[in-house]
Amino acid sequence: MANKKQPEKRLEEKVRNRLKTPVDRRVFLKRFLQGAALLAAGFPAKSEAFSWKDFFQKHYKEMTAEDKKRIFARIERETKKRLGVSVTLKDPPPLDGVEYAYCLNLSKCIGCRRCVYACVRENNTSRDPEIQYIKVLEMPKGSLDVEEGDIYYDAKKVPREGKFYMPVQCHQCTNPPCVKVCPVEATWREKDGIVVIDYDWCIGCRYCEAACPYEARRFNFATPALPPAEINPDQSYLSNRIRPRGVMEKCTFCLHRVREGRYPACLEACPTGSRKFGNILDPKSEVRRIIEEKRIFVFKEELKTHPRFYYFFD
Amino acid sequence: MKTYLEFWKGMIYQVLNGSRLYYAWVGSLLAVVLLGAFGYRQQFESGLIVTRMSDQVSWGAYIANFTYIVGLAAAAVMLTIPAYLYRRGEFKKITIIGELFAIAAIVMCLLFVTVDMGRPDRFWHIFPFIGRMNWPISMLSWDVIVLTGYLLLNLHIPGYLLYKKYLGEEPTRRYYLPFIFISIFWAISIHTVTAFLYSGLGGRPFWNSAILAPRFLASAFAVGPCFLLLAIGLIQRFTRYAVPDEAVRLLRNITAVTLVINLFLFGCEVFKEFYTDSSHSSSAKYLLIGLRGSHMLVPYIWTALLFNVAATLAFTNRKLNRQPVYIHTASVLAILGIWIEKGMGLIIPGFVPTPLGDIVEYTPSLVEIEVCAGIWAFGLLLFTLMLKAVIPIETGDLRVKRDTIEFPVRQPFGKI
Amino acid sequence: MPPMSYNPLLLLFLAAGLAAAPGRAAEGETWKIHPEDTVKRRTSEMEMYKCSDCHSETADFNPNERVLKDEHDDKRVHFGEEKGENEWCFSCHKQGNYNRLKRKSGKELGFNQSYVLCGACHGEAYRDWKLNIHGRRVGFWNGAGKIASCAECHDPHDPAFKAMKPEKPPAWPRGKKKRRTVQGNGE
Repeated sequence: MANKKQPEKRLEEKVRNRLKTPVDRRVFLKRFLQGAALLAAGFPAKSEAFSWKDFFQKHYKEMTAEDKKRIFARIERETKKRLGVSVTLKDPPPLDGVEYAYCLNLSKCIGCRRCVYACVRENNTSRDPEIQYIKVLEMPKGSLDVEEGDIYYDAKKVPREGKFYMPVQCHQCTNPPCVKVCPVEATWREKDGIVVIDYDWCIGCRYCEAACPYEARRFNFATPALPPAEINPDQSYLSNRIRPRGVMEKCTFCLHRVREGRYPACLEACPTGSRKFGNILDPKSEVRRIIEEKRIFVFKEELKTHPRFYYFFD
Repeated sequence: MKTYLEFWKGMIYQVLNGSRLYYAWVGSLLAVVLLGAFGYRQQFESGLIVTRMSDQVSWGAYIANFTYIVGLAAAAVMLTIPAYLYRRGEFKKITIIGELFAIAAIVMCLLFVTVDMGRPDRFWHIFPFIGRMNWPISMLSWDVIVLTGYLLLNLHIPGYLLYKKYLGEEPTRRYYLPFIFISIFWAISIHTVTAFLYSGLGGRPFWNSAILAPRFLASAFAVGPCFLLLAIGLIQRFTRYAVPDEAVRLLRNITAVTLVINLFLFGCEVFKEFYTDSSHSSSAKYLLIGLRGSHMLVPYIWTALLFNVAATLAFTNRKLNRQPVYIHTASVLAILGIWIEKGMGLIIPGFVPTPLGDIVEYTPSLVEIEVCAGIWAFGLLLFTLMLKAVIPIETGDLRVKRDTIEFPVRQPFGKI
Repeated sequence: MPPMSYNPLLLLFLAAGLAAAPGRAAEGETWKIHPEDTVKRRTSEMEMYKCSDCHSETADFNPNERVLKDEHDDKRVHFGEEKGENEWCFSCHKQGNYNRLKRKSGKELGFNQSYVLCGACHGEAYRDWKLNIHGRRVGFWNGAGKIASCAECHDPHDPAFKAMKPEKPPAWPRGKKKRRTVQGNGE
C-alpha cells in the first residue's frame, strides 16, 4: 500500500511544485509550437503535385480556348489516375434560338423512379453518399400540398390507389434564387436557360441550397464514390463530369446531351412517356403545344421563380 | 516607429506575464483551441461528411454560432452610442472594452465561416477584383464587405486611441471621431445584412419575414451588453481598472429595455405563426410544439424562453437589479437563452420541413462540437489577451519611456 | 443497256423499296415531329406474326362471339365491355386476311399501322400521340426520333397500363426519424 501511495504523493508534489514555479516563457512557447507542428503534420499533403496555376484557375466565363483545353486535359488525366477510366470532357456551347422547357404529365407518371436511376447513371453522381437529382413525391389525390407527400414510398406495385406521383428536379428557373445568392457567381443561367455550376469555382458555402425552393441542389459532403465500371465517359465540364468534394451539383437537363440535340436521360428512361422536352421558342415543338393547349401549372408559382418546368394533368 | 514597436513589445510583455490564475485560464483555453484544431483536422481530411449536416439541413452549428456572434460584434455599439451620441462621459472610459470585444467576435465569425465552407482553399474567390464577387445582388457578398470593414474600423479606433494614451498625448479628433460615428451605423448594418441573408429567401417561409432583422438587432443588443456586463464584472474583480458605476448602471438599464423588446418581438412572431396557421407556419410549429411526431427542438426553445423571461424579470426588477450577483446570473441566463433561440431556434427550423415537405432533423456531431468549442475558446482567448495587454495602458501603468526603455516593475493586477 | 434514268425495271425496284420503307403509313405522314422520324414496327415484336403461317386465308372461322379456349386464350378483349359493345376478335382483325387489321369501315391496314386503328376510336389520345404529347419518343428533340406505337405500351387485348414495381426509395437520411409504418411518411 505504501508503494501505491508513494507515486501518488510524488505526483501531487510534482504538480504543486509545477504550479509554484513561474512558467519559463521559452519552454512554454517551444512546447506550444511543438504541439502546433504535430497538428500541422496531421493535415494531409496534396496527393498530387500542387500547382499554382490550378489553385488560381479562372472562372469558366473568363477561360480562353487554350485554358479550357488545358483544364479539360487535366481533368481527364486526373480521372484516369484516380479511377482508371478514360473519359472525354466536352464543352458544347448553347444552341442559338433555343430555350429549353420540360413538361411533365402528372396523369401519366406512375412513380416507378426509372428516371431517378437513369439520371444517376448518366450524370455520374455519387453512390456513397447517395446523391439523386430527382425526387419523386407520392402525393394523395386531391392535394398539392407537399407536406402530404412522401419521397420514401416503397410499394410492390405503383401507381398505388388514391395517389399520384410528382417528380421534382431542378426547374432551371428564369429568375433563379440560387443564382441571386451565390457570393462568387459560381452558378449562373446560360443563354439556353440551363442554370449551370462551375464546379471548380464553387466555394461550398451552401447558400444556394438554402435558397432553392424546390430542393434541387445537392452538396458533396464527401468525395463522391461511384464504381468505375458505371462511369459514363461522355462528360462535359458544366454538367456530368465527376465532381470534387465540397462543391454543389444539380440537374442540368443533361446539358451534354440536349445541346447536341438528344433528350435528357430521364425522359428516355420514362416508360409511360410522362416527360416531354424541347425548345420553347419553337412554335411547333411539343412543349410549346403542351403549354399552349394543356392546362399546365407551375410548382410554387407564387415565388415568381418562372421555372422552365411545367406540370400538367391530361 | 521605434516607439510603436516598443508599444507592441510592452503589450506582448503584459500578455506573457501574469498570475497563476491567468496562466491556468489561458492554458485551458489553449487546450480547448487545440481540441478544436484537431477536430477541424478530421473535417479537413474527410470533408463535411463528419458533420451531421445534410442536403436537407445544410447549415448547422457553425452558421448558427456565426449568426449569434455577428450580433455580439454589433453590440459593441451599445457602449459607443451613449458615449459619443449621447455624450455620456463615463461611457468613454469603457468603449475600449466593447471595441476589443467586437474584434474578438469578428475573428470568431470569420473562423466559423471558414470552417463551414466546403472549399476553404477557394476563399479568395469571394474577393473583388482577384475573385468574382457577386455584388450587389448576393447578400453574402455584402456580408463579407461589412464584416471586413467593421473589423478594420475596430482595429483602427482602439489601436489609435491606445497608442496615443501610451504616448501620453491627446488624440486628434479627426483621426478617430468620424470612424466612431461610422462604426455606430456600420455595426447596425453588419447584423442587418446577416438578417437579410435569411429574410430574402422566398423558399424558406420561416425566415422570409420582415421582422427578422429587427429581431436580430433586438436580441444582439440584449445579449451583447450581457457579455459586456460580465466582462466588466471580471475586470472590476481582477484589475485596478476603474469602471464607473454610473456606466454599469446605465448599461444595465439599456439591457433591460432591449431584453423586453426581444421578448415582445418573439411574441409578435409567435402570434403571426399560430393565428394564421397556414402551411408557412410548419417550421414554427416544429420549433414550438413539434411537427408530425418530430419534436427535438421543443424542450430547447421552451428552456430558452424560460431563461429569457427570467433574465428580463431580473433586469427589470428594482430590488434585484442593483445586486451584481443577480445581474450576472441574469446575464448568463440571457446569453444561454438567446444563444438557443437564435442559434438552433432560428437556423434549424428554417430547414424543417424542407421545401418538399420532408422532415429531417439535426444534432451536431462530435467534430462539430469540438470545432465550435475551439473557436469559442479562441475568441475568449483573444479577448482575454487583448484586455490583458490593454488595461495597463488604460490605467496608466504602461507608458512610453522617453529616455530609457524600461518595463513597468509592478503589475496592475494586484488583487490576486 | 438502255440509259438508267428511263429503265422501267429500276423504277419498279424503286417503287417497291419505297413501299417497304419502315414506318410509312397509308396516309401521308405530315404529322411527324421531324421528317426522319420512324414509328417502331410492331411486326418484329409480335411473337406469332405472321398469322398466315397458321391461318390460311381461305379457311372460315366460327364468326360467332365466344371465349377462345384453345389457342389465343390469353387474348381476352378487355375494352369496350363497359359500353356493352363487346368488342371481340373480328372487330379489329380481318377475317379471311389474318395478317391485316380492319377498321370499322372495313378498310384494311397492316399491323405496323395499328395506331390508325386505335386512333379511330381514341381520337384525343391519337391527336396527342401525333403531337408527341402522349406516348414515347426517344432520340433527338431537334432531329430524327423513334416513336413508339400504341401497342408498344398498351396491349391491344388488355390496354390498361400495367402497374410495375418501383425502383428502390432514396437512402433514409441520417437525421430522419425511423418509420413506424410502411406507408406514409411514418411521421
